[in-house]
Amino acid sequence: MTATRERGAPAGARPGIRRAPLAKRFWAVLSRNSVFRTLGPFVPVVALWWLVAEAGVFPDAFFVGPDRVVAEIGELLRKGILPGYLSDSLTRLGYGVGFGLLIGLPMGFLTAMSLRVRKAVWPILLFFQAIADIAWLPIVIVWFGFSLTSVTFVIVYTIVFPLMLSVVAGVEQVPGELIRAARSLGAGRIRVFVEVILPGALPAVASGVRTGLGYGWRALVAAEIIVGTSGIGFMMFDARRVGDVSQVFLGMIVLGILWYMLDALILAPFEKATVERWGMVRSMEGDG
Amino acid sequence: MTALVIENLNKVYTDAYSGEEVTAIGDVSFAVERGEFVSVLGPSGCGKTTVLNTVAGFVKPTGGVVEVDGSPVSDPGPDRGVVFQSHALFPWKTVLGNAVFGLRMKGVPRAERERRGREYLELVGLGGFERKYPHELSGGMQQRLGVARVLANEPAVMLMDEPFASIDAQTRRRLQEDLTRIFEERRPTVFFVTHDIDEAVFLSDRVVVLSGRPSTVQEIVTVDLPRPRTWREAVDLPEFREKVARINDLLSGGAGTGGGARVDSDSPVDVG
Repeated sequence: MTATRERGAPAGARPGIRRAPLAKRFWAVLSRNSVFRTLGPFVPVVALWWLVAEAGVFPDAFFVGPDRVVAEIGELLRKGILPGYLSDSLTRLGYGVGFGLLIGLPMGFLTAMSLRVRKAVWPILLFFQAIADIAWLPIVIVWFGFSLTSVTFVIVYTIVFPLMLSVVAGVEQVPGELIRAARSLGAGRIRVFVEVILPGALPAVASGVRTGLGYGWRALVAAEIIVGTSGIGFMMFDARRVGDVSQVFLGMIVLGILWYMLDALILAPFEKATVERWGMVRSMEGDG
Repeated sequence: MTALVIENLNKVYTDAYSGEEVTAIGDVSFAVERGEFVSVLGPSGCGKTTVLNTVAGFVKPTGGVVEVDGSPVSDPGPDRGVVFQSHALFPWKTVLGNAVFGLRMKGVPRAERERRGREYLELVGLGGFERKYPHELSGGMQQRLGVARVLANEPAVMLMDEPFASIDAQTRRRLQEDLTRIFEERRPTVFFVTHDIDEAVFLSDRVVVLSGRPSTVQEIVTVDLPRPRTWREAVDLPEFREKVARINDLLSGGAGTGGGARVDSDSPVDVG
């Protein structure tokens, strides 16, 4: 807060007002910069990585430094492999997430709203939750072969159950008084659902989508490693086979960056515009 | 004209664990005239909020009838707007969006409902806050919005369930004075539940004093204080002090009737 004033004031302009030490002011300015806030935390991580690589603790074939990975990025970009694999992975994720949301959200609300449906669905939900996504791959490959359908199936499967559970939790956390208030203001059952339950469940649903996406993202990579004919997961596993560690490192970094972008460009702005704006949850980054 | 009739109201709860039956409301009857301000007072746990919830249609009575404007109550409806102790505002709607909610449910066209919404926001002192969200308002302002939201809907009776109980003492006094002013200007029918004797006497035309559980009507105290009322003047009026003392006596068990007023029977089963 104080940084706003301090930044504009010329040095020593106001007698009587003690100014913060230079280092502190520098830090205040820096920590308000969004680029620094995003990349800053990675500086020590990369530095440590570089240090370990340069020190030669591990043999070159096991552990490569950032310089090698950057060179590798340039190489794969030039050959067009990275963009191709990336778009393959993202297409699969898109299909999987799209169908996952399309199935999971309505199923979740149906389960949450109807006691009868819930009684029927709950044991099934718990049963299938126990079967890991990857555990489906053997049978899915038998059914659909090494295809986009197989990968999509696994992602949809991974997303649907956590999503349904969080929708049910979200509907349950809508305060009963809000529903009563709406009813006594003249809302019928359908209006109560649309006007109160849907937005009231949004904080939990949003975090369910976040969790579901995260699971889906991991399932995608796992499925690509096993089913793979292309994609980031395939690239990493294939590189391991030929002993190219730098591509494995590169793949891991790409996964992290993609997730970060997904969060920063879609999930976080959505939450900022809705549940945070309405004061229903607190912002992750404080007053940022 | 009678706006609200409560006749031989009786409510028995069955405890879900022990299967024990708990009588929340024994036998309660009274009526509220149109344009009248009636408070219901009683020892804690006497089921006064249950009476309100039955009128609102949130709770089905075991026996007896509730009639609003001549027709019996079965479900919640816009003729009985409720102001909640917890405010129960919609956090995802702006102040104006909250105020016009009932009108929107009625299908009033946008321009008309926004005009009326603004009018009532102005009335409760929230003019200029239309675009804010509820969490940006103080507790007192939130409850002003709760009142505006109900009044904009022009219900047959406004039900208020200890609306100022969670608000600090100074703000509460101001809200009470503002509620009196609004009542004197607009003359809505108000059914007000409270455990605060001063508040009940200050606001009401009549105070219904319930006995402890199983509750019955001990006495209906008529308050003839001149309007407009302000706290400054009210506290100096002998009649104000006399009514407060009278109700205090009733509640402290001296004049217990029927089941007897058990003032300090704070039951673990929350029927209030």
